[in-house]
Amino acid sequence: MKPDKSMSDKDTTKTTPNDEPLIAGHNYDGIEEYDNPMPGWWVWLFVASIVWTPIYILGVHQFGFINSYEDDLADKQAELAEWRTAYEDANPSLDVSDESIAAYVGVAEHVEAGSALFTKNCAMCHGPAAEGLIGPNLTDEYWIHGPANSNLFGVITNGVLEKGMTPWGSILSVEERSQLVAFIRSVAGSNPPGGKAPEGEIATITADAG
Amino acid sequence: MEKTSSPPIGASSNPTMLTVRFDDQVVRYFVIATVIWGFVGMLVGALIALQMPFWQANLGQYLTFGRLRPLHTNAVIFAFAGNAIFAAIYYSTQRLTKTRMYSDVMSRIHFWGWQSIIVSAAITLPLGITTSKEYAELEWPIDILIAVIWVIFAINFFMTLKIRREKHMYVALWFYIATIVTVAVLHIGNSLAIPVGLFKSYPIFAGVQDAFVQWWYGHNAVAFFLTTPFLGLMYYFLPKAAERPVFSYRLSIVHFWSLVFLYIWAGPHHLQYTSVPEWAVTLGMVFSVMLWMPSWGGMINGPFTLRGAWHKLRDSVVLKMYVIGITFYGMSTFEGPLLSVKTVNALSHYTDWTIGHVHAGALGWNGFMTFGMIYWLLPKLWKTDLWSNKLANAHFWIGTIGMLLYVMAMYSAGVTQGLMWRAFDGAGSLIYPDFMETVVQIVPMYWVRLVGGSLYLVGMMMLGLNMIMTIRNAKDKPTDAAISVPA
Amino acid sequence: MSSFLNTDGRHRTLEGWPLVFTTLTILAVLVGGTVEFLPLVLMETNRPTISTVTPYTPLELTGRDLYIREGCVSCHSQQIRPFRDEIERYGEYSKPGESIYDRPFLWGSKRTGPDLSRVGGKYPDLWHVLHLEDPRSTSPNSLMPPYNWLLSQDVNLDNLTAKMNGLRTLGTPYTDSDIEGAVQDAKAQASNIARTISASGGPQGLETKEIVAVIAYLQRMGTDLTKSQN
Repeated sequence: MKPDKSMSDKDTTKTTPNDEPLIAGHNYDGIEEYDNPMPGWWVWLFVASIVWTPIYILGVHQFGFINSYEDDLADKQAELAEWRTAYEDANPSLDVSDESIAAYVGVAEHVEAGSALFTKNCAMCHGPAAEGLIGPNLTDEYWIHGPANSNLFGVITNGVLEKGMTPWGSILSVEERSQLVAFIRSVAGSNPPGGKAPEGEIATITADAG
Repeated sequence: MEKTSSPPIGASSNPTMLTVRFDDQVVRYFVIATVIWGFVGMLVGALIALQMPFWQANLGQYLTFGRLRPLHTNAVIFAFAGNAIFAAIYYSTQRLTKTRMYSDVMSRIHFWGWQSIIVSAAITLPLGITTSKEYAELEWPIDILIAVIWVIFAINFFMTLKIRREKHMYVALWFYIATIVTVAVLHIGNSLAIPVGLFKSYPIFAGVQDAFVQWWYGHNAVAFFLTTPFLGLMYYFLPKAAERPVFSYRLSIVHFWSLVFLYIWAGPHHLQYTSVPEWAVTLGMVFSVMLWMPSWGGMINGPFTLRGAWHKLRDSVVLKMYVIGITFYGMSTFEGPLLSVKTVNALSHYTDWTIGHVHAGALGWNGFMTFGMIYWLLPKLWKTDLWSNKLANAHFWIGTIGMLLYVMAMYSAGVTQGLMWRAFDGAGSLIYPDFMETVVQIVPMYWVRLVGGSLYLVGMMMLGLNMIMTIRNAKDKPTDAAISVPA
Repeated sequence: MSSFLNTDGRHRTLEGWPLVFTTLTILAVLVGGTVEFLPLVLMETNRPTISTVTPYTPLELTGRDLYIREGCVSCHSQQIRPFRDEIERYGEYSKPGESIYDRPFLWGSKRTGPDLSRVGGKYPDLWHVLHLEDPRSTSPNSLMPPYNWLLSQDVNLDNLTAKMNGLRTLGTPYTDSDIEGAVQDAKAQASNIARTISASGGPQGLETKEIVAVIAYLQRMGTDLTKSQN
């Protein structure tokens, strides 16, 4: 009889179902043992896992019909490159220039969006009012990497790694970066309290500086 | 140290028979220690669960998450589960060998030595004295003490086997043997270090090799501290409580040897996709998959032993606890191989999925097997009825609900965060480049986990209350059990 | 098989021999670990070295031990996996040769916070001061506890000689002059970092504090791979 059939056995009078052999002499502090066979499905799953083992090992490390770490990475990277190419083909890269950014400057909706982005991503280093903290003051007339819209856009995009400025090019879109420039323009000359001492070279900029 | 009233061995009324009195006092000590440390370890667990969503709960320099997390893991593994398995081993070994433990003195050195190790851990870990190797954080002076105490325990155990009055060793003893020798090997292997100060050492292996040795240890601490001794416990206490014969002797043999042989190989699956060479990790993975059935051997022999006794679950909180415990064992030992598979691991690793997995095993298997054993032992050790069966049943339900909440919260947090980390948009940019976005998303799950964990802790307190009241109801000096054996 | 598994088979005999049973158990558990571990130690190809990876400076070593003391590894991994998303997020994936001086390894097993293997150079020193003092000042919503005591406690350099001697015994190539000048070297690096911090508007007088050692270690992390060879 298959062992699992008696799982639902509610017969309480028998302590030993008579179709199962109790092993004589196996009695430890009252605990006895049956000589039941191992369940077939258990044996076969175990055997299957053992048979699969050399196939998998050889597949990865000898014959290569299963991907190794490096194969996987190469596949995934190639796929990512494809996505990027396809996206660029479909969305020809926006021609970013002083003028294209100038279209954002002074537009309330963009300044507002830029302000939100600034609070989330930039305030930790440039201060909540762009007054400068770890990074330079962005409200004064001094610029380390040049005063033009495109200069600001470039620093945001590529970062200044040696000084700790993060490159945001892969994180924020062209529009978002343009909105950030618009926000920075909007705080020019706001002279917030606790402003950091000027760094870089002086350059007066107007709202639509080019 | 209390002395029992009767001599260990004395003449009985029948001149050809000898009375063997077991040392149950040391079992009582270990049971009480299990409950106390279980409460402490889980309380620390609840605190660090609170620290995750509520950083203000980091209470100054000595009580930050970073320092308390190892205290929690050490307390629940080595203090709660540790004392529980010692209680199980001391209680069952004497009965399975029909002899008192070889040396009462060694038993007591073991008990007090182990408690002093736990106290040292509770002091040094908050002070920041740590090796940082998971589940092996204690510094070298404590490591040496652990080795000494373990060796004393081993001598006491093996000498008891030597003087046994039962010709053959029952399967529970096989698992105890595997536990004792392997934990010694693992502990020594992973603690090899040179001291550079009283509380500071550097491991002899570096980088990739150190990582390998650590997870050879870490994985097999789970195997030989949290699995094999609990299987031994199950093989003794489940058939005793169910009063049924064990389902299959053959299965015991095959799953014992395959388990102890295969488990050791699986360690490198903790290092998937790291700098450890891929061949080693592949071995870790395939052996984990092969380990699935040997683990389930225990999962079959347990519940199948209950055939024809399922109706007893209605009245026995002990059996209910065992059934839940073994069910969680079956789930965890299926999930373990699953998580070792490379593609699954790529998603789960470094997330809360792992935390969910270990707690399914720890709360479900180790916790409930321990609770079941203690509820069964309390009346026997103190020769009285359990103070409240109702409270024990309440513990069963609150514990079950608590751990279900806990693991569900962690699975959901783990999968959510894992998917967010790898998400790319159509332009080929990360959708969540800011790590914080993936954290904010799972904070609600941390609160759910805290609720689940706290319920489980409340269950632990119910056990504590039940134990205290049962002991208070007992006679002043409980006597130790004795058997008659041929002289 | 059956003569082995029979109720009176060979296994039954074995159950009466604890010593033999125990010996066989030990052999069974030793096989796996040995077969996996020996090649890692014996075969050079399994632990390729990278020429630009050098031992930690005395101050970085001190900082690393503080990182261990605070249990940073509980929440921060130091191991970037060879996945495109991790490379995108954290940088080039971790190489075996990068951790040859890591005793113990600090790869971690959980990322409650982000991976730190390439955090070196990512933020200015002052950012780390502000972040460790109050994580939410630089990272709103952070779950990290504040580590303000790192700014007030003096860094202990007394045991540097013992530590470096110990590491040299184990194979880290510190020279005699490295060890003799360790404290001097650590103090010089500390005052450099402290100067950078105060120059960028941060607090003064941190050169004797634990935080500069932690920053020295953090700024070192993951930078060996790309530094030019001298």
